[in-house]
Amino acid sequence: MRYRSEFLLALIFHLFLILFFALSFTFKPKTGIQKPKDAIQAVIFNEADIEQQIQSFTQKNKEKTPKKSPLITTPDSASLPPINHQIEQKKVDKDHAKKFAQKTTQVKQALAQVTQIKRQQQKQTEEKARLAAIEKTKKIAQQQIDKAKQNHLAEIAQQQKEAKANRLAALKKAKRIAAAEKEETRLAELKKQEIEQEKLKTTLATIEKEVALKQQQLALEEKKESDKLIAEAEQLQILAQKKQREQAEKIKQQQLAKKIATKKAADLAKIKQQKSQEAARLAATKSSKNLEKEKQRLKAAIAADMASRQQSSKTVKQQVAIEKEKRQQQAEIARRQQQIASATAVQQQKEYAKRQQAQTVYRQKQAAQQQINQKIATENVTGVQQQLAQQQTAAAERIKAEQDRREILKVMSALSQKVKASWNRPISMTQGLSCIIRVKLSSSGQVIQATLFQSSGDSFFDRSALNAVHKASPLPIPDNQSLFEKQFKSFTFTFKPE
Amino acid sequence: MVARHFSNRSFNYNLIIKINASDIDKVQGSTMKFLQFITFFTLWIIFTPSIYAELNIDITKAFETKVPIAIPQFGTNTSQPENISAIINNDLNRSGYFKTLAEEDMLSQPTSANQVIMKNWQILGQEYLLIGHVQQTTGGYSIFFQLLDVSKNEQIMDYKITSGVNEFRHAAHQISDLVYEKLTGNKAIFGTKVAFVSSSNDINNQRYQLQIADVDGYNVKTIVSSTEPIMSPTWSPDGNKIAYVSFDNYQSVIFVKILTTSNRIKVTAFPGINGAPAWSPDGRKLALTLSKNGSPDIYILDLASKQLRQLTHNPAINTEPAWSPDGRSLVFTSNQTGKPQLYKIASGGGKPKRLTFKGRYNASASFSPDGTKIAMVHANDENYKIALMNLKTGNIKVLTSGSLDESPSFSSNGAMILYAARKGGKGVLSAVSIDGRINQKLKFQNSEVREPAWAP
Repeated sequence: MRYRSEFLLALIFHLFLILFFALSFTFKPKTGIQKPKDAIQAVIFNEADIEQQIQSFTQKNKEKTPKKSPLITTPDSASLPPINHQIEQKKVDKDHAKKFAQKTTQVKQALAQVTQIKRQQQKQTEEKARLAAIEKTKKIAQQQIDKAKQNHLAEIAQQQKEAKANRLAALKKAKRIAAAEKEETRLAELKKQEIEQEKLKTTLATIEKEVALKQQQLALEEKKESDKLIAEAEQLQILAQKKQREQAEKIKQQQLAKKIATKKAADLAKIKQQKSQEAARLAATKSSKNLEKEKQRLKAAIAADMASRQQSSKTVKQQVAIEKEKRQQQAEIARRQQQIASATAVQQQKEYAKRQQAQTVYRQKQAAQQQINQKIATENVTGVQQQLAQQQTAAAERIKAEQDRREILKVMSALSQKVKASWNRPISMTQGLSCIIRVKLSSSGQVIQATLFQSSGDSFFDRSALNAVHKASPLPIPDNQSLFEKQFKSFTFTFKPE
Repeated sequence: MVARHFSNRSFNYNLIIKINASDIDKVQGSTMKFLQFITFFTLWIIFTPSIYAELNIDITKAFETKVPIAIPQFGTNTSQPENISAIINNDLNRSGYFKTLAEEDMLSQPTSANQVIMKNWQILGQEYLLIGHVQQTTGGYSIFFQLLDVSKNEQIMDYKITSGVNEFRHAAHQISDLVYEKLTGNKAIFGTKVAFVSSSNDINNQRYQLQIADVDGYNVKTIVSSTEPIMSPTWSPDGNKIAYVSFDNYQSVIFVKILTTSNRIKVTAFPGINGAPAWSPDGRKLALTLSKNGSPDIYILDLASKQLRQLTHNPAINTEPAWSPDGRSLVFTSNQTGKPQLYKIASGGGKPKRLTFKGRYNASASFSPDGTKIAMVHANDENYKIALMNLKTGNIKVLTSGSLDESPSFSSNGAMILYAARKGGKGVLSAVSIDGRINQKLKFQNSEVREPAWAP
């Protein structure tokens, strides 16, 4: 496997990072947590010393006071001392009293000290109690914190459980959605198959149409041929008619020419007659005047004759010209007609020739095909023909398979509808039950046997599925016997609530 | 690739995409392509559906229906003390699983299998047929019955039940039990009994009665009648005794009434509260609430030795104990945190563990017979409903809608929960299935009933 250098460097870099991370665990943390400074400054008293002092003070007082206090009479000294002694003793007493007062003050001070010490002791105890109380409160607070933590942990655990349940529900939903999608894809595939079938149908239809069109074209061609033949015949007729007309015209022209000739002869005869008359007149009349007159008359008559001749010649010429023109026109017409006729004749001949060629070609092709067929029949099928035959059979098979598939789908939907309609699905506390029932049918669709192939776990549900199959008997089956034998003699129903 | 500057940016992108595709083709080696091919091939192999040899048709139906069953009148040569067919009809209808055929719709009334013309029932769309007849015998009755499958035209059950003269209704319930169990595969509770407290509304002469009735509301018997209030009845596990709380001279007392002898035993009468008795699963101990030491706490009393052991030691109110079916722990209501919640404690003693964290009020726990679920009263606001909590998952499912539901009690088959509700200003008893779908009201002649307890 070839990798780029950048990728390898990045990989090495990341491996180094992981190595350092692992190494970091080998370093030990700093030891010891420093204890906090004492907030309370306590004076430490030695109780034993204090007690000793107190005892010493009290002993001293005891020692001193009974000696120097004459006011406190002891029961042993019952005898009264004399008066002198009394006065002296009074003085002494006063001194003693002073000293006693001093001593009492000293004792008082000592007592005060003792009391102070006692107060300090009390304070100490109070402080101890306070400390104890503070510790107690600390302990209680800690306990409460622990409890709160435990509750919090319990709540977190609950929330996690709920989250798990939600996740499971979401997973189930996703599964259901996936199942729905799978079904949709299945339906889409079925639709695609149907579309393909329709396409095949349309192609078949187009092929048929093409065949029909070709047939129509052939028919049209035949019609055209026949029409052409008829046209030929008609044209021949027309030609004949034209020839007849030409002949008639020729005859007419000949007659005209004859007439003209007769007219000319008549005119000549007339002229001769006129000449003879004039000669006769001349002979008859010899006078110059008469001669002149006759000459004038003759001239006039000649001029008139000339004019008439000219006129007649003109008319004859015109007639001749007209006749010539007519003849020319007729000749032109005839020529044009001839040309047209020839042209059409040529075209017809060409077309005829083409048709004949096409027919010959067609006949040749047919002959060739026949030869080929004969060859095939004689030679026992070549590879190309095999392929054609195979394709045809394959196409026929495909069509048949499509028909079969459609039939199967129809029957399957009819079966599922009928069984679904007769199924009384019972109430159940568990969700998502599903069972498979195996069914054997007779040739008429009657249920011979319905067995529980796979139970759903709820006997009520299974029983209801079996009942549904029995209620729906006789089940709809395809008309095609071979199809029934193949698919519907024995099959399974899967009963699913959702 | 010639780089050209176009004003149209989209064209540039198309160019870039094309460049990338061609580049990838060049960069990818043959091994990568081979690997891709292999993965696609294996995935294709895995995910193409396997070809079944046999055709399979899917039947999907989303909605459930009540299964139709027909129970014509039972034949008899004498007069029946009760209408068996009506009792069985009522039982199966109330269960919620079945829908019985009305008598006027029946085309025939066969009483034995040889009289049955199956087509008559197939036309009516019935799935099952229950027929039978009653014979009077010395000392009672013999009831013969057969359960037939209409679609397959075959017999499912053929039974004979004997009953005493006064047990006719009970025999009919037994038939319902047998039919239900055979068809659905679940245990039936048509022949069970319930105990409850009923009170008359007469203010001048207020009487309280502890009564026992069949679960269909018939055969009501008064066990205890008193002018003092009666509370918290509970059945012993053998079904022969009921413990309850009553008052004696303004002092609350726990009594045990023995049903077979109708004797009454005074169990505890300590100063303060004596309440909420609960029998242990072995029937030898009673858990109670006593406040003789200040605040109400749970105590366990051994009935034989009368020894009392305190279970909870805290200044809060601890009451309403409920034994788990294995007898190892109890669930009780405590307001240590300020509001009533459910706690669990080992029956030998120890620290209580909180069970309910949702809702501001959770109380009156009742264990299911398999010990996996607890029925309780649950409220977030002022609406008190019955809810079911799964002990493993901690999941709470609210089953009822009522505003003042209380005293849930599980049936012995763990499928239904009996509770007290208020409907139309009166106290009534209702039974709800554990998924909340089936809810049936129990009808009693008395006006005010509450605090039900389902017999084991």
